[in-house]
Amino acid sequence: MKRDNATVKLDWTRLLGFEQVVEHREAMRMERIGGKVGDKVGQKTGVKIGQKEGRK
Amino acid sequence: MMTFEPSAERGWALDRRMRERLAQSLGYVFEAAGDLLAVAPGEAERIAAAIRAKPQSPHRFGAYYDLVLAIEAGDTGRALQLCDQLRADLECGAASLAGIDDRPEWQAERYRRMFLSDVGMAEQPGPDLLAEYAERVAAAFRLLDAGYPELAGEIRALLREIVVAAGPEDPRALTFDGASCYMLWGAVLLNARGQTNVLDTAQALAHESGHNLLFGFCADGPLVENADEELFASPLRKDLRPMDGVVHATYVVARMHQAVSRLLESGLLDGEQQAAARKDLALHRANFDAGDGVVREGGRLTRTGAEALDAARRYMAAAA
Repeated sequence: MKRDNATVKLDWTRLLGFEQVVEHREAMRMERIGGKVGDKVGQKTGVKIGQKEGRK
Repeated sequence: MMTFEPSAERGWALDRRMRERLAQSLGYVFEAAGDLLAVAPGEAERIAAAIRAKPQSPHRFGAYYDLVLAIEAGDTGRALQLCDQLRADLECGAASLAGIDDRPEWQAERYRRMFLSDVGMAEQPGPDLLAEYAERVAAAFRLLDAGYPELAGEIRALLREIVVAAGPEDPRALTFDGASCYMLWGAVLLNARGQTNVLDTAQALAHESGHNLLFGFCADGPLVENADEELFASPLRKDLRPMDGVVHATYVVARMHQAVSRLLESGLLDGEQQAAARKDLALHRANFDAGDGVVREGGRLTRTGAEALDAARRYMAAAA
């Protein structure tokens, strides 16, 4: 977030469960129950959280 | 906490812990970006106190994650909108059931975005389908209340909203039975066309609430150390999954096995249901063994992940 050329940098260690929110791990857990329904795939590519190096 | 035996007490304890973590983290976010978000310290404290005080709508959690993502993206306007959502006194049900579009548009949009890989793969169920499915879910809860009340109590403690959508009718199309999302604590999505009988719907409730249970275990860290880019076969999906997804699938398969086993032992199932239950038990065991084999070969479990999965392994070994 920018204002007056300042950017808010959040400390990822103080966010809730963000190790599990990044990229593939974050969201959809659609799974089939015992093969009773048709084929499915649904690989979610994940939300984009920008540069996260060094912040996990 | 990590026992494989479900209980309402555990569900409520996890809910309290997740709300406490949310309140703490939201307080930090407001402190770090408060002047830009126009959230006064007293207001931030009021929001945190409300979160700590009682069970919350899944959209409190969803709005928090969206707010962090908006801050990361530098989207000030969106962040301000999300602060308004966090200020709102959102209605919170107790395992309440409604169609995916039977709610304010911004809530329906979030559910579609966070639950679904393709927002077009689920539609609002028609009135007849929704009514029929609501009755089946109610019947599934009645069955669990009578045959496995500990699981029924835990499901109610974990779930605030059961969101119902209709998957595609084309048998060749990609579809789903249910979905859960870490960012939507307390919500599950179920496909009204995904199950055709009460026993299957009871299993779907055990399954999706099992994902929420694991989310609750993970308030302080993930289940695995494997990188998200490492992909493995999963017992429940055709596509390759990160190890986190394989551990989730393996765990919830054991939970479904447990649910079916206890219902079978309860004597409440009729002859047709008993035959289906025995078939399901065999399928769940095969899927558990397949998933557990993948985890043993390639999984690098954290202490949390090991404790959770070991509990499932002990249950499956004892149930053999």
